[in-house]
Amino acid sequence: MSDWYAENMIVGCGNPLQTDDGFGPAAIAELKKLSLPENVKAMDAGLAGPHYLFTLMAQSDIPVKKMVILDIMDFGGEPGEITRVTPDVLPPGSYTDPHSWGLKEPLQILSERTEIVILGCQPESIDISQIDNESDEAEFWVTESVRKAIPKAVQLALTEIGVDYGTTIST
Amino acid sequence: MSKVVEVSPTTRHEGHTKLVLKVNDDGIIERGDWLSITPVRGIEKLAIGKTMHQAPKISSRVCGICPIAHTLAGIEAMEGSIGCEIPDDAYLLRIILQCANRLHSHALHNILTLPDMYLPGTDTHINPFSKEEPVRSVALRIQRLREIGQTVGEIAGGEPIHPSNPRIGGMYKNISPRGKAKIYDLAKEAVGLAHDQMEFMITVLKDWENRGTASVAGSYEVEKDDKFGFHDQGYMAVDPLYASTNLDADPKWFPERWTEVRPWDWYMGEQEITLDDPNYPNHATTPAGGKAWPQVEACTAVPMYDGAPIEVGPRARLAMFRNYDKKGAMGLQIARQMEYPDCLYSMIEAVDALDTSGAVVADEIPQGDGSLGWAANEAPRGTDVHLAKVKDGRVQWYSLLVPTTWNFPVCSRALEGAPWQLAEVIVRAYDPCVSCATHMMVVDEKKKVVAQKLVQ
Repeated sequence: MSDWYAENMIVGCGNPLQTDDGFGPAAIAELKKLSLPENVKAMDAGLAGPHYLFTLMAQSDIPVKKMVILDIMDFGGEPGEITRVTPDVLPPGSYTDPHSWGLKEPLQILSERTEIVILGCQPESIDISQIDNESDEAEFWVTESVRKAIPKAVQLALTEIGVDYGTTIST
Repeated sequence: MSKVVEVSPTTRHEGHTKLVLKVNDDGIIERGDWLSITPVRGIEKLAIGKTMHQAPKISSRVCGICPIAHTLAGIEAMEGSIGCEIPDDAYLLRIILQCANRLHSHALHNILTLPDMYLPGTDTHINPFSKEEPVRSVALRIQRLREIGQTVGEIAGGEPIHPSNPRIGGMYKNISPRGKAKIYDLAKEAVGLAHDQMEFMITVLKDWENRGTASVAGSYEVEKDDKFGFHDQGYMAVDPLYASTNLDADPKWFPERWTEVRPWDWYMGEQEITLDDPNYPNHATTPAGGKAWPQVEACTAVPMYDGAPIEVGPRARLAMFRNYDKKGAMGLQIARQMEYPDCLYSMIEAVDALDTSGAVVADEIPQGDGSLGWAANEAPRGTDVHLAKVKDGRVQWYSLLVPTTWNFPVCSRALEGAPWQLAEVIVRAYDPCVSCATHMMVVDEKKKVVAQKLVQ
């Protein structure tokens, strides 16, 4: 297996410069504060999941067993609400840039060999962030409603891959 | 009489662009405008007032392809402003990261390029995801090179995609002896693969160049000429591999030679589209009767160096530092392949020299007095210039001049003389990375954004 994959992957997708689109990377930042088993890897894929990650995993010698994607998803819920879907319900193009590849949907190809679950969080805003937080450490500028959803998203993602982190994470 | 055709969207590159082409009766481009239609990135405004540590992290998010180049250029522009020299071992780690970035990016570009090309000796276009040989072995080789690039990037950079280890003053931490050994082993493995890949790609590209006709990804064939993708503009590169900054004893980039003009002053005015082709791939030609207005649709300023557009990227590096002289779209493509081995030899040299016990953070990190600092990083697609002014640890001013922004006007000139149906092949030779290239926002006299349609 390639060094930067693991048997279980938790991948955060999105762009923190566009407010709630930073949900995925922000959730990964929380996951990285935890001590995870060796067969679990949390990765901030930013904007680059389709070409940096999905296409490579789809052709790796040994497949990733399970991948949980954390991302925003407009499913008509309340801001911060989380839904669980699998790639087969997504319209074509959800995880590829048709301007970039013009080829097959990488996530669909990958789902033929890897179990994929997407935890989608309803965004409140995906406008270009005004980034008004002056904290030196701040890297993510999601709205309050989405920020509150992050602990739950972390717990759901860990549950998906069978990691019980107890009840120390506030929901 | 000239006709106007618009190809929108263009495909197999990062970001959103279109081509507006004036063509003669034979379909040959008389004037071509290639423009970004990707929404603005806004980083220059977002970074003001942030700490110097935050701004490069923000700028690394303007693009999904080049986070390493933007991280390094952003950090080094801040270091240039505050006058912070970094330890040698931190510099070596950054070199390793740079090599990993270029290795992955060039391999990724091979996938985007190959569908335009033919299996040498046949008229069969290459589908890089085919399960049949010989393409399958090539695809696996490309993917392995990408994996190696990403793995090395993760070891040196802390993350395979958005590097977390580089920081102002050096790096957060050195790598372990085991990490050093692993990079060495991976680089050694990749050397052979890279040579094979370079030779394969050059064979394929020369085969394409020697054909009398060609097509875009398996559509109809058109005749081409022997000066496909030529232009008469100059080159700009600051280093064969890495970067130059204002802290260098002998800087290789000069801010006073840089100017920008508005797209209004560069691109074509409003045009009526008078030619379309339903058989063009992806049905990407706009129906005749529509309108195109590149002057107002382009989302980038047009940067000049010494008052003229200038090419950046692999050919510019090879032309300036290795006397490379092959012009045309395939000349640029071949130059890119020639950089494969250098990535790995440089990586091996750097990891050999690295002391894993050495300090990687500067003893002192000044907070800045507002002086101008800049860093010109030789990103995979070309010179990625970040400029910054830092005072008391806060960013006062920040600007990014990214590779594809430099290349837009040059590539537009390189379209002239080509059959319009192959314009995308020329564009793809530049390996466009457009999202981070987009940085124009129209404001009124009260600094209020008025071009809202650009901010989607």
